[in-house]
Amino acid sequence: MICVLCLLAGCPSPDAERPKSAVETVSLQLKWVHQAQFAGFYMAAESGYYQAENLSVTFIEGGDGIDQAASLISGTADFAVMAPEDILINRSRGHAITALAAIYRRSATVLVAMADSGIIRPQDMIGKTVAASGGSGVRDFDLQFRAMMKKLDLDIGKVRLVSYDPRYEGFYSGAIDVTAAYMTGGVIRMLTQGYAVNLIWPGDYGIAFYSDTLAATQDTIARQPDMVQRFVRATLKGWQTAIGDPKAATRVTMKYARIADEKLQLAMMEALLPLVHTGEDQIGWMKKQDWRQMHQILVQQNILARPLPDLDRVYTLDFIESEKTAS
Amino acid sequence: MKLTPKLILVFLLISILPILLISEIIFRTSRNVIEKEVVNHLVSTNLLKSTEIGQWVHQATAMLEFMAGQPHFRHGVLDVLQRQTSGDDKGADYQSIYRRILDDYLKPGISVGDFIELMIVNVADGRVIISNDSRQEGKIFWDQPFFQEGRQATFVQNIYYSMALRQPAMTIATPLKDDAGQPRAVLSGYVDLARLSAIMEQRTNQTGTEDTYLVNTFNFFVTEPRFETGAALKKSIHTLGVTKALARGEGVASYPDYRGKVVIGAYKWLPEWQLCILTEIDQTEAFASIATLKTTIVGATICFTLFVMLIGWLSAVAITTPVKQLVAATEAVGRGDLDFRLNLGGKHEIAFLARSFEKMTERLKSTLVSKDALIREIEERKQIESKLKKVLTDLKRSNNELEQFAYVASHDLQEPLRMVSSYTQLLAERYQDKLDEKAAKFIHYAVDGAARMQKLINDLLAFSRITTRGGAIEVVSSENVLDAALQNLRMMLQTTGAMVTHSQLPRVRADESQLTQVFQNLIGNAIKFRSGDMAHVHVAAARQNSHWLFSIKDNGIGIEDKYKKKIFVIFQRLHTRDEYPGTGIGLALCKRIVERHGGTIWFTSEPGRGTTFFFSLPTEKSKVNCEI
Repeated sequence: MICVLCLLAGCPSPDAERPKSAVETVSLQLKWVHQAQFAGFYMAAESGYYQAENLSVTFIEGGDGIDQAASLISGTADFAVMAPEDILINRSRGHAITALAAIYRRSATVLVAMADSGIIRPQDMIGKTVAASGGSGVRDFDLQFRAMMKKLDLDIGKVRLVSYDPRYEGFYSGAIDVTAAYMTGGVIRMLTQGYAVNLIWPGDYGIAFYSDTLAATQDTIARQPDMVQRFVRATLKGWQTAIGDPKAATRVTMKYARIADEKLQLAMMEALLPLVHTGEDQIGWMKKQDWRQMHQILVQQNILARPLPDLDRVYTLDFIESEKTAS
Repeated sequence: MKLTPKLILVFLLISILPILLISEIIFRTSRNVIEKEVVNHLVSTNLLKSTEIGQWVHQATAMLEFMAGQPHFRHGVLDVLQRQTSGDDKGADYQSIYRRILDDYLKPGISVGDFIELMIVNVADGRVIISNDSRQEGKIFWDQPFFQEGRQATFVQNIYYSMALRQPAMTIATPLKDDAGQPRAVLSGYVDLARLSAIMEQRTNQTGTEDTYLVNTFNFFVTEPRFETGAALKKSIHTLGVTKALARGEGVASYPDYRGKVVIGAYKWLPEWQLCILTEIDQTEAFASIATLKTTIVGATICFTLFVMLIGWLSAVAITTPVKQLVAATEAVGRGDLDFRLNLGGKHEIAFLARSFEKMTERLKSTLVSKDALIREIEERKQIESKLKKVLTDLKRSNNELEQFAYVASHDLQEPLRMVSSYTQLLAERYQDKLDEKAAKFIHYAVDGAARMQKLINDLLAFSRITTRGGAIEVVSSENVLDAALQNLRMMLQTTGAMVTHSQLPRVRADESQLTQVFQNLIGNAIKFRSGDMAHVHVAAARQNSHWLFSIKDNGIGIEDKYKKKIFVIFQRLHTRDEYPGTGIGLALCKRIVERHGGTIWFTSEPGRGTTFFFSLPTEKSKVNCEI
């Protein structure tokens, strides 16, 4: 019966049918729920880049209380999109997680003040109420704010640091002078609601943090370097495509997005563009000095109990570099 | 194939092929020229603009270096730096120095227009110490290439996305050194990329779709392309032109651009800037003139074709119409309608043909008419001829019968008449004494009558013998014949003293004795009917065609014209026997003899003055059938 169907359907001959290798199923743990934040991955899947690499990729949605590192360590996911500080922290805990590519080479974290507040630089935050502290989900807010104040020799004790409120009610009401936010999230919402704001980006004050970073366990990398290579290659290509055509990327995103608001997703897409594509180097590229600085900040803030002995192994450029030479 | 489509086709073939060939050649040549122009334009645009970019950046760099080299500016900056480091940055002195740097250097530097921001960065920590945009002060650019490199020497950081400006930027940096030559600060400036875009757009606006833009090595737009906004460093482009330029190539190609429209694009890799420059123009626009040319040529060809077809049609019609008329005419003539008229004007061959055709029908018509008439006439004549023949035959027969009768009658009548005459004379002689005078007188009358009758019968016999007993007709000398006649008239001539003269007379074909008789009778009559004078008769002959015309002229009493016919009738007399004796047979005999010879006899006369008798005789050589 199958033969007949094959004949009828004009199936290719067995020789032609035999693939180079069987399609591998891999999974990717996302940092948050489906949204434009991960457009490049969707693009790679929808454009067939993964398929071309003989990969079938399953996306595992993130969310409140989902630990990306745990997914990797448990083997639930082969790859994960996670914060660089989480990689460093897990490393310090003995989990050999390695960064493969910095998707967001610039941090989306930003401190926001109302435009008429007169707060235009960190120095102006002295004596003000800043909403930047919080749990593991927004660890980077607290981290970067503190690092920035320290970098600028500003006394954080003179700042009233309060919990981050994702609804920004205190900020809107004026009770809070400054709030942390993601340029790809909260800021878009503020702007959408018509607020004029000043953005104080820690990156402008010497705090060069990555945001979403693609990572895998050292073990996976060691055992399946070819698979990792193919995954990274397809992923970066997906991001290149997504960045190159934000509108198309948004359309692709709409197949996945939790919030089916294309305008919102497009705004998010446009906000993340300069973070992913800086105009320097290629997408995903990482610098030693950046990792050193991130590491240093974590040590300074006692988030890392002691410096990592093998800092240079926290990230690898092997897969990007070979990709670079390949292209 | 009929003549009309054939002619049109021939006209088309003759004209269209060369037209098409010429059109094609013109089109190809023009297209090459246009294409070359387009390509040259695009390539030169790229060249021009890349040169302009270089000049512009060079100019901005020169300005920055010039500013950094100003001792006053340099010392001011060092002063501010020193005061900031030492914490002496609150006083009025500091403010005045700070303002001076800002107002005398940075702000004027901005106003030149090449930079959107000028700032001085502390070498020690990468912090912005002075900027014309105060919001930028305090920012740290330690890890930025322009700072890292700019500390050592002048450096241009290629276009990147500046988070500080939140827009694409290109930064030029140059060190500010203290008197010891140590770099203490970096003078940096964000160049105004709008100027770059302006350079790109400069010539773009002049044509419809010409578009020049820069693309970086990551396939991202660096300047805004014409048909997109906010694409700089936000949108990537993967066209054939970009791919080739990024492969360090340079050239011109046709490909779909970022809008998906097919363009002619000149691409060029600019190694100095690590960018590629592309100048593109929509193929439709680039080749619009080609399209126009094509339309024009096609239009002209169509017009010409139609014109040629029209000419062909007109020519065909000019030929076929008369031909058709000719065909109709021939069919009409074939049906027998000879009155069909063509009425073709003109001076061409077909008109000539038509006219000769008309002439032909005309002649045909007249020929047919005359033929009919001829046939009718021939038939009439035949009828007449047969009638004539019949009449002639009847006439001959009756003539013969008459002659026979005359001969028999005169011959057979002589015998009893002679008996009557003899016995009457015998009666007179024997009974002369016994008869009285009256009886003798009566007998004399009877004898005289018998004698006259005998004479009449003899005359009649002679008359009839002319044809029934005529001699042979042969060549004779009319002079001899005249002599014989005169010999016979010798007595009469002697008694009357008449004079007969004659001209030279010809030889003729005649019955000699009968011709003698004619001369004798005519001359005898001339003498007999002489007037008072002495009779003079002259005989002459004149040649007339195949006849000799004889004339016997006298000076006698003449004959009145009314007797022209009567005079030749047998036994007709114009005078009484008492005036002139005779039976009246003489001229009848002459007429009959002349007619037997095929001639005619007549006379002209003036009464009292004389008469001329004419008669014709055939010449000796003619072979006229004389006897009828």
